[in-house]
Amino acid sequence: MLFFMGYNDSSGNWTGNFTRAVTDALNKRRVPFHELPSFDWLTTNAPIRRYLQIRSKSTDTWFIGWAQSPIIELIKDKPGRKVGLVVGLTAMPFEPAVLWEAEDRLNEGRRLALYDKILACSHWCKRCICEAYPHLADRVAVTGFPIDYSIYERFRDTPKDPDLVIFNQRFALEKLHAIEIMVAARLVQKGWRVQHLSGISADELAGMATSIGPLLNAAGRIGLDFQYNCTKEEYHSRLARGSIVVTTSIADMLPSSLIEAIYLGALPVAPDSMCFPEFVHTDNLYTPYDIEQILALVSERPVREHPIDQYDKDVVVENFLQEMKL
Amino acid sequence: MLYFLSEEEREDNYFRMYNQALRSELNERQVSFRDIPLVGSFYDQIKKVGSLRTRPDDIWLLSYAHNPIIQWVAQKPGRKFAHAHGLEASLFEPAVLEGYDLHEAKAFREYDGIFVNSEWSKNLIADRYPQLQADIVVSGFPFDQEAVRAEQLQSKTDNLIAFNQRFSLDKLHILEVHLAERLISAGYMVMHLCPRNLIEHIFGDREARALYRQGLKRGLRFVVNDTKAEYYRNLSRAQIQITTSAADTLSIGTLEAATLGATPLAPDWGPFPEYLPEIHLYPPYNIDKIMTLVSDPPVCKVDIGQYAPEMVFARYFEVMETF
Repeated sequence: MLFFMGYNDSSGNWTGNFTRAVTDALNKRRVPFHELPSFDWLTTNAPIRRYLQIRSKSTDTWFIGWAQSPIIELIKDKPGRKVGLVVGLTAMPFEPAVLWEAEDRLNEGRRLALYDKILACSHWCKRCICEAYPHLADRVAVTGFPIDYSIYERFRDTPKDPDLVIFNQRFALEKLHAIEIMVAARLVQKGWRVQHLSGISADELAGMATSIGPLLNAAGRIGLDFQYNCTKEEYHSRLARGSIVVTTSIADMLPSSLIEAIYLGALPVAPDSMCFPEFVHTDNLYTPYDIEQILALVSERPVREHPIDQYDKDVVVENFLQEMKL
Repeated sequence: MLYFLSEEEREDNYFRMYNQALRSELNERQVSFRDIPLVGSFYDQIKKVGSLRTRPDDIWLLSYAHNPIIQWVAQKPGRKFAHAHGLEASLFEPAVLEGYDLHEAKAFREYDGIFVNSEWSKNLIADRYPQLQADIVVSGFPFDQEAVRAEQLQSKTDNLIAFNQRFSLDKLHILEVHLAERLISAGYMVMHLCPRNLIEHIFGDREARALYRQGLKRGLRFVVNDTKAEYYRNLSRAQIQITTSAADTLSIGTLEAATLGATPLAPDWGPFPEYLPEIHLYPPYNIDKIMTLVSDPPVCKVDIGQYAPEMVFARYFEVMETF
């Protein structure tokens, strides 16, 4: 039996899509599995007793979608192989969990050591795990991150706005929101329309850090159009109109936001570092922080192939199953 | 009569240098003036201003243009001038990012003339408040090199790099930590100089606190200074000073570093090209370029003579007499 734990669904991010993509792919393959209630950073009152009541066998596999979940400490002595997927790492200085000061609570090093196998969503992710925890290096395998492209299919025919540049990264410090505003200001001056698409409302964002409210005001002043999307559908239909999507991120293991933009036909502009070279053509990459290069790439609009098929849910779940020996 | 409303002087701000330079200049020029330190409660300050009887040919000079006391001063006879240091018109003014509203446009409207640190400041104001454009005068900041140099140590520490900007979002603290990690990996020692109350400030902001901890973890040394003298001595040990600032109207920290013999490196942006040679500038925020500049630092001299107090105040008097 495979015990699978995904994520809580959230309108503002990718978590629900991940869980659905994995369960769909497992069902398609008729792999028997038992889905456990999620225990991630969004969980309140986790059903601890329910986890503890599960009886497993040594031939079973536990697959935890968020490897740093506290559940691993609860099930560590239960029979069966433990496999965890890493999608972020507090060993990295600008990981959101670090900036939210959750680093100590996650006990990352101790929890990761409890897994028999650690799956990394990207080669960059694997490198980070191995550098931070070299003693775990022989347990780490790169699988990718499963994306269900069928979700976006009906938006692919949306006509593009040729002058629309979109930022769809989280409006947060680790995505260098201040630099996003500087880039947007320059783009607006050059005649581009620039939008920031968010699954989190401005009010909710403003509660996350004192500076967010003033930065959103600054964004408005320079003509960066902040668009809150109440539903994923609204978000996807707006994203589909963008011709170019820019990221200024300083912390990403594999951003599904950029991958979905590419699938919808936008030209990506991303830093030549971290995970980006794994799925963005080299001609669409800029030297990190180089605003002039970002502007030049937006003007040049290099149309290239970007290898995002590797993240198709079927491909990635196949990788998961291979690594789990199922 | 000139009424000088002087801002409170603390170890962690630049008003001591500004106020002292202005007092010296006024004495030097034998200008009859009355120094009114803005200390105590705001109510006390208003009472103090309210008790002054001025005439239309008097001059009011405020060392901080944003001080809300201008709304009371405005009701008094006399012409009003002030120095604007930071600017809400900037996208990333620190006070605004911390949640304060400076009511800049309202305050600035009350002055006959506003002195600013740089052409960059003037342009920011002109873009945001075009109607105020004519009242803005670029004077520079009265920077007393002698006072700074008095504390200079004789020797430098090899491979020591200093950050002396505020550890906050407007200075892109996140880039500072990232850059510090790269520099430390490359064999440099990196220190962040700060006044004691900055540490308290950092601990009051979740993101700054997290970045501070990450900086410490990666070998960035936070050197706390109780006095300006101690700060100048520590800064004078550095061979290179770097700023990753996204909001500055001049950067006193960079002037201090240049005075104390450190090679300043700054983004090719904002006020920096007004006084730093091109070779000291990097494309914002290109960390690779910074690393290249650090490995082969420019040797040309940085001339900041334009900010000598007598030069700055000559502009003041030229304008105040014209009015």
